[in-house]
Amino acid sequence: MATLLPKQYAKILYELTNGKSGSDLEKTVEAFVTFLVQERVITKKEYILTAFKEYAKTQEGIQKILITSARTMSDSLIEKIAHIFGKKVEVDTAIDASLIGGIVVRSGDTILDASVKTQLEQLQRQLS
Amino acid sequence: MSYTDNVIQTLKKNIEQFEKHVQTEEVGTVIEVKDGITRMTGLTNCQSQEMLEFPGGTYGIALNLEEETVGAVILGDYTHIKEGDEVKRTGRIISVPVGDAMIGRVVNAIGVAIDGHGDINTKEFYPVERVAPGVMTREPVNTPMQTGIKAIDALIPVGRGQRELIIGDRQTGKTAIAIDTILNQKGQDIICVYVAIGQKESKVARIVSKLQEAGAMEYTVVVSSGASEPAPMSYLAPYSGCAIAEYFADKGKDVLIIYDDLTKHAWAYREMSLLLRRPPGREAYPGDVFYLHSRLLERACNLNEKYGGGSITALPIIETQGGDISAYVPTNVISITDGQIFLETDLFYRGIRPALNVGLSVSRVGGAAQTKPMKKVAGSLKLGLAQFRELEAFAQFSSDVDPETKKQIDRGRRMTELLKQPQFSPMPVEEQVVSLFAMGEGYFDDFPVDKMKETEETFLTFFRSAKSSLLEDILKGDWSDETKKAVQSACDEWKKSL
Repeated sequence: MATLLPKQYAKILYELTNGKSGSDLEKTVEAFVTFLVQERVITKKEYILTAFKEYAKTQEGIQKILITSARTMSDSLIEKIAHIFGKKVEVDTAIDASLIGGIVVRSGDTILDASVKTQLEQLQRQLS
Repeated sequence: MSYTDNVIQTLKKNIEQFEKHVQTEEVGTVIEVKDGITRMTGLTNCQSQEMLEFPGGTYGIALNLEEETVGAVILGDYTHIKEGDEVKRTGRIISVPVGDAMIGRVVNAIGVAIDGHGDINTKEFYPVERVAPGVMTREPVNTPMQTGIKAIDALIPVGRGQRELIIGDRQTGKTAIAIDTILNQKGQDIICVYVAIGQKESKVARIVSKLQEAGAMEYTVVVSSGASEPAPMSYLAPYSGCAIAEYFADKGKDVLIIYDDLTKHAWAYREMSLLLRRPPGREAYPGDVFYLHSRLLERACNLNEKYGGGSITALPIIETQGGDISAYVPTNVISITDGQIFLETDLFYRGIRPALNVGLSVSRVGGAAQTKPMKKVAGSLKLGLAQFRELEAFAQFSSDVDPETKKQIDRGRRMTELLKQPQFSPMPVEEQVVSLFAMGEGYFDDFPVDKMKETEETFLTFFRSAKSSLLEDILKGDWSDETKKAVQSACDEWKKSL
């Protein structure tokens, strides 16, 4: 049998624990950990935990975006960009000088590329 | 100075026209790379058979779409691809460039020129995988596709739009038949596509130089995926070749396509499938190995007038192991095609070349496409040869046979001798007809069996010089009683002149 991906375990955990609290929650988590031991994937717990955090966020409608820019951006600018993506947004930022200018926003599997580097590449393709 | 200004002006204009737009891309992340196969997460909306762009300008095809991951094969070098690399969707189903500029060129499985004559200037793209033309677009095979090989044109005729399998062990002259057929299409307004699948580069180079020498590259496209290229390229090559052929067929042209050979294609697909962890079946081939070839060969067609009247004739080649035509892939392809040309090692080493096994070779639809003269002279030929094979085996045990049998055996020997033909020397159909006619009427019976080749040569030289108008009539398909009589008297004339 093929082992499940961390993302799939995370999904199971989320479905089990959603809406539970107190001793009920504790029991469920205990059962889940036993299940992981049985499946011999307890060593992957960190990956599962990361995947769980991500999954829970998407379920609760929190979007995670990564903004890459050539230089450090002011907080107000970041706020502005984040606002476009909706209310519940968690922003990560990164600096990549090779972009020359502009920004690249990554949200999930989609990339919005508005960097000078890509535009120059487009121009090069058009001229050749 | 003015020239530089001009360039600057044009550049300025171009740059002004350039519109900035934000690119939206869908990406995934590589989680596993091995043996030319990758698995990726992400790529949520990825389609099956879509081209994916890996870092460094390498492309891949998405083949396995699973719940959480996408499995893809990489076209080309994969050593620089690492875990965590970003993979972009292109939104394009795998396609190849097509166009008239492809003629005379050697390209690889994705349509990139590999003959060192620069880029190919084409504008159109055709998808590599395409659904075959439907019932309403087709018409029965009705025009002959002359191979220039006497044994084939007379006994197992091939029509335009037919799929005729060439099957045999290694070194039995399979490729030779295919190449001779290409050579014979000169001046027939037929485009040829030769697809080399997993072949040695040296062999491809030899074939291309032979075609160039004979002036056959003027109407030929060679698609080559070498033995050193990864399996996905070999897998793709026949489909690319077919897409290139379809472009010409859509323009109303007659196309001949040769797949050399589909055994290696099945191997390449088996390799890919096993690496992609698809369940193996008989001989470790995946379950859809039949569909792999049926969807390819089904694209051969004879389109009716309403759809342009083009045609694609397919000559797939299969290599057998020890003459075993009941192995998995050979039986599959035999059942898909409209007949097979079966070549045998025994015959080859006995000097009967092309080493055609008349008993096991058939053409299921080609008879309808044979020209009238050929149909008449070749009618009794197959039966006569089959009888000869039986008698010959029988006569080996008893030394004295009755004169009637002796005559039949003698005629059979001459016939076999007449059907021998050296490589790279295709014969026009009208010459085949007179030669077979003279044989059938017994004009060659007085000459020794081992001198048949020379005898035929003098006979044809006589016809070419003295009776060229008669040959032209036969070429047009005329076989009225008058023509027949004229040929007969011409034969008498030749006999007397000796």
